[in-house]
Amino acid sequence: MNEHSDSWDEMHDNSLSPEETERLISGTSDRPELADLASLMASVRALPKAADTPVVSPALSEFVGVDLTSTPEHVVLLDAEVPEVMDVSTPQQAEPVRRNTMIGQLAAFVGTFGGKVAVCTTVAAASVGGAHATGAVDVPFLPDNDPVEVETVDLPEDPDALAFVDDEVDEAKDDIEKPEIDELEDEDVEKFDEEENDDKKGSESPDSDELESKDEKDFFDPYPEHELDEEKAEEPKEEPKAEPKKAEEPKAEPKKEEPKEENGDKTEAQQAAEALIGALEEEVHAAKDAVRAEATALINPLEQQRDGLLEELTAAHLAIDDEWEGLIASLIADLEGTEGEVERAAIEEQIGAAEEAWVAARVAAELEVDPRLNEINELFEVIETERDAEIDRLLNEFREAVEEIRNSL
Amino acid sequence: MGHAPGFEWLWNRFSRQVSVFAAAQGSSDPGGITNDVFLGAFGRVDTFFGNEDGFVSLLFSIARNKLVDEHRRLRRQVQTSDGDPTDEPAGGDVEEDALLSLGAEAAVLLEGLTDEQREVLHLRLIADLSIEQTALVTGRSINAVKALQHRATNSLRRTISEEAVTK
Repeated sequence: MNEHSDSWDEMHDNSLSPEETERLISGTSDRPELADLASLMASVRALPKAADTPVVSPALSEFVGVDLTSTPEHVVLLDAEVPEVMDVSTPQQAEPVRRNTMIGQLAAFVGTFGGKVAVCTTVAAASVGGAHATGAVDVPFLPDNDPVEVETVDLPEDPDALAFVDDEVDEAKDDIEKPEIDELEDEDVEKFDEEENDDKKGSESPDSDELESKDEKDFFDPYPEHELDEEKAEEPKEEPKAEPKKAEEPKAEPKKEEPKEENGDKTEAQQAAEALIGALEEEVHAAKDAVRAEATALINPLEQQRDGLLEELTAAHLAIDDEWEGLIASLIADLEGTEGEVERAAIEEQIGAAEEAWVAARVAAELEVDPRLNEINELFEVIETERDAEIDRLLNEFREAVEEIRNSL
Repeated sequence: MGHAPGFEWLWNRFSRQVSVFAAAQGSSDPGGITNDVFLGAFGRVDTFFGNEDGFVSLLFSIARNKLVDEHRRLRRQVQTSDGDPTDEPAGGDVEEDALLSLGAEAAVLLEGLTDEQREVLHLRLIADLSIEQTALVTGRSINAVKALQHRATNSLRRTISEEAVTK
């Protein structure tokens, strides 16, 4: 970038001593002819004072453990009572990027009316359920040993998202479920299972209608890379309103175990079709996992190669730095011990040349590694493109199959 | 964690310097880099031993590494999208934009420096590091830092003189 093309005379005229340089940088120079330069330095020095404090990311805020967040959208989105709910989240640093995305979407979700209703309902249900289960209060319409009430609250099925709900929910679930179910006889368990199904039916529908909005769907599926999840979230639009929760049911749950009442208005053909779609979906999931695993097996050794090259480059840079820094250091020492203007300028010129050679050596080292890095990057591209194409193909086949099954009904 | 008030103080004290330094060094996301830097530094706080100067050196060492990573990533992206890495230098327009954010005059003047000279000046002026701290952060010797800042200052002075003559 620097041409270093100054003539010998120019260098002679403009040369600053190292001591004067230090005074300029530290802002203590008082030479009038250097006022412009001093002013420039002062303006750069003043930049941090004029700058705004950066926005604190949710990840940093969580890590620090206090609400440093000055993010405008949080200020706008969150009402006074909501941070309490947010604060109970436990840091999960294994996947910070995904979590950051989820936090943003959760904040957006909680900021909506539907979100507030869901969160408040959750907390209220958990509190009442917990209090009832522990005997602190007696709620007449709740069975004493009923383990279902907490489970029927409209919460996202994403296990990460559940971490945001008040701990009280989990405590309440533990309070209600564990000690008492263990003591039950088989007959009682069956009886409670029936009641559970009844309660689920009764409590799901009111809130599930509200959760049909796009915000909530985005919330339930914060990771767009999960194509099948997206597809699942879209499905309810096409289905009759009588089955609003189908898209949110756990895929592992066998369809045959659904309550009789819920299947009452379905034909056998519909049930068979659903079972078939479920089986296909599992197959597609497995195929996608296999494709990804295959790609990862190819990518991993490439990543190791790339890391090795970068280490090689770092080592080369360090060696070059050692070599040239030593030379420049000796020149600097010469400069500091030299009085004559002519001699000083000559040494300065040598320093300039040494710096240029130093930079050139670093660039040469990079250029040596670059072709191999490029090759690796190209291979990454090919593998990732093929992987994505294969996954797209699987998803398209799945969509077509689902369409065909539905059309055949 | 029991360090929260200290973290808050450190953030308020140094985050702007890190952010401005990242912007001046051509980061496309100075705020993101700043957050990453503090996450990294706070993550090591339990094993950190030293005073405020030492912590600032740690902050800017992390910042420098993050910036190097970002430049490499940007360069890979440029190579991937254009196919010809020689067309576009690392950072490309991002660096120019960041320099322009410093102010037109300073941007033009600093653009004439080598990357190494500019980095040393940024660390000295924006981060307010001493020569010793700058040497520590950049992994160079103290004499090398002196040489770089000396050359940078002389270069800036010449540019200013030439501009004055032109006007």
